[in-house]
Amino acid sequence: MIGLLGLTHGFGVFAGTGLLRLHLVSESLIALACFPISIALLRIVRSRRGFRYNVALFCLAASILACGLTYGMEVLTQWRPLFWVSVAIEAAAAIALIAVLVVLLRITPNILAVPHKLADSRFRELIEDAPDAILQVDERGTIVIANRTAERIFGYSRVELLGSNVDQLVPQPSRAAHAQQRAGFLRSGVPMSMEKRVGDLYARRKDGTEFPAEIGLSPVKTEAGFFVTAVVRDVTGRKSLERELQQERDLRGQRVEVLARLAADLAHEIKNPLAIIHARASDLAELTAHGLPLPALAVEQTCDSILKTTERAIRVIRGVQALAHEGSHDPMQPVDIHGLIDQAVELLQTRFATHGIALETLVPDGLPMVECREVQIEQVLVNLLNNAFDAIDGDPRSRPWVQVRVSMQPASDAVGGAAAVHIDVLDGGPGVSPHDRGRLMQTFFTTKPRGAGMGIGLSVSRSIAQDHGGTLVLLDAEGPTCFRLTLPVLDPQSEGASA
Amino acid sequence: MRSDQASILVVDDELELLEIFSAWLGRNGYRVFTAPNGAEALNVLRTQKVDLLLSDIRMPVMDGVTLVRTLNQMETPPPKIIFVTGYGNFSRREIFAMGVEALLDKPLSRPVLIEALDRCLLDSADKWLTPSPEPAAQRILLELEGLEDATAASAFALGRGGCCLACQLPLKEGVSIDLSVRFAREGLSIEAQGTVVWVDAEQGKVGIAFDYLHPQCRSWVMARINSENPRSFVPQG
Repeated sequence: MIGLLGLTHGFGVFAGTGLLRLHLVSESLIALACFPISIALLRIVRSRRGFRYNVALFCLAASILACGLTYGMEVLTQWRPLFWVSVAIEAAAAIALIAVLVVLLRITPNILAVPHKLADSRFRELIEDAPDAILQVDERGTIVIANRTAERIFGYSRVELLGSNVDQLVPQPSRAAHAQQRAGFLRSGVPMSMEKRVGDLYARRKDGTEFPAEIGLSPVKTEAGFFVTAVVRDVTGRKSLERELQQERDLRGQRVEVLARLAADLAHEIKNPLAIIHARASDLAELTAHGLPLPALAVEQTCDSILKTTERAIRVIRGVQALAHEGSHDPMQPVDIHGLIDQAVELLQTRFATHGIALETLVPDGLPMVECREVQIEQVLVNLLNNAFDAIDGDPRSRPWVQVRVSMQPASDAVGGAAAVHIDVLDGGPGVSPHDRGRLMQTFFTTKPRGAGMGIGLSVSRSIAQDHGGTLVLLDAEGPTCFRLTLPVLDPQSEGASA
Repeated sequence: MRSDQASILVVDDELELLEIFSAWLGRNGYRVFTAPNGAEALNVLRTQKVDLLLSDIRMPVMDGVTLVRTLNQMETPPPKIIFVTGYGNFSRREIFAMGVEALLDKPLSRPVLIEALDRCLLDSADKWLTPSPEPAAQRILLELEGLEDATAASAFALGRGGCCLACQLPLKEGVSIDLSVRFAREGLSIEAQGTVVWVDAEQGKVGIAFDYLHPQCRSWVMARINSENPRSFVPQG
């Protein structure tokens, strides 16, 4: 069998049967392959209507279809030479190819304008070295993307992270809840910002340690399904800073609270002496104004009274000055407990006396020194005494006495193995109800009437005690209310060694 | 009432001040009793006729406020009351509403104390006879619908020695006031000179003690005070 080979290319060769057969089979296959290729391209055009290169794809599909037809016609020509039809299809293919060429020439600059590889790598670096851990998780919670920061923050390598479940990054107690929340989040599909979730979120590292975290979540919908992108920030540093700030604020608040009470006392304590001095002086002035003789005795008595009264006022002011001093940055210094307690007591004695409350101190002699910030410990004592005062003053059932009792505790494990001193403040008040006991040391808890206390005194006092390596507790014993401030005492030997 | 007839009870826990005040008052011809606290003062009041009580506020055993509250609950009419104090933790509004007529701050001079006592011992009618020659620092002009309506709506209240008004003006305690309140329905008015004794800016209320009442309004104001006989000197409102 002899056939015409290569007519489409404008020349003809008569070939043998083997060659012709191979030719026909190849051409048929080309024609057959062209149809599905063009159909596939057309499907893309149909389903991705917004795609910017759809015109190019459409032209390409048309030209491939036309080419396929020309090959098909060539095979057909072996049996039925329909030359005009063949040539017409070829012309159509040519036009389609030219159209592809034109479109290609037009879009090439656009395509080249995108620095494809570079942008991709920059974008990746951006994500890799973001300050926060970035994770993408699929619907089942499997981690599919993790950046370098995630490796660093969580302590897992990327190989370990990818493919594992995100729940393992959540502390054990909240894992079950987390899985449920994940499901809920996927259903709601609303992004969750970091700010909204600030609070007590914790994440878990590979070594089992936990850290406070801020977490932002955003849902991602793709053809492959739902994903969630999670951005996790380690806020350990900020949290501890916040805690320090809060402590400082509490301390300042306590001073304000104590000072506010003192201000009212102070007005009374200072204005009374001033009234005496004022009256004494004006009496003398009146005598001289009327040209009357000044008896030496009267002058002496007046001066004596003025001097004594002035000294009384100055003592009051000194006490308040000491208390107004901030103190939290003072150096720790060896302090005599006896003097410390006397100062605190002197400051409040008048108020106790005017309310008929006996204030007694029982301090044994020969106590060792305590290393402390004097002003802070005095604040604690004044605070405890004020509380005792309020407990008695506010309750008709109470007996009017307050006692400061000091005792030594030999070295034991209780206070880091060192010897310690107990400063107990006892009062004849009605006692603390079992219900209030647990909450007593909490910040902003107060049993006092509105306006009398902000409820920060005890919690701040306790943190001051702890700063000094000591404790402040409400003793459980039967009998009168007793707050016990325990402070480690200076070891006389180490004191000697350091001196 | 002349000062040489008046008896005064001085109450203060500061014994030296008690001594000084008694000497001052004695020199002025008053009959003087003393007590170191409210409880002792009650004992004196039980046995002696006292025209005026001059008391500190903050004292041991019984403070001045408790003393006055106790007196207010008794059947016998309490004496006139003046507080002298250096203490700052009290409400001026409550104190004037309790019937206290003046609040003096320590330290104070003899002339100031004597003037306050003399004035307090006068009868209300005599107290309000003489206008002050000094111009007032501020002027309050109020046009109200009716006296009873305003009283019911707490826009106006009359005490033994002054009134409480709903007033949005920025006022300060101790400032002298020219007061003019008109009640359209009754055709009544109060034309007075007074002193601001307390201000509640939050509630927009002010307490004013009268110093002088214009003759035109004196009679109806006196009649109303006598008929209602309020305990408060300046009401709380």
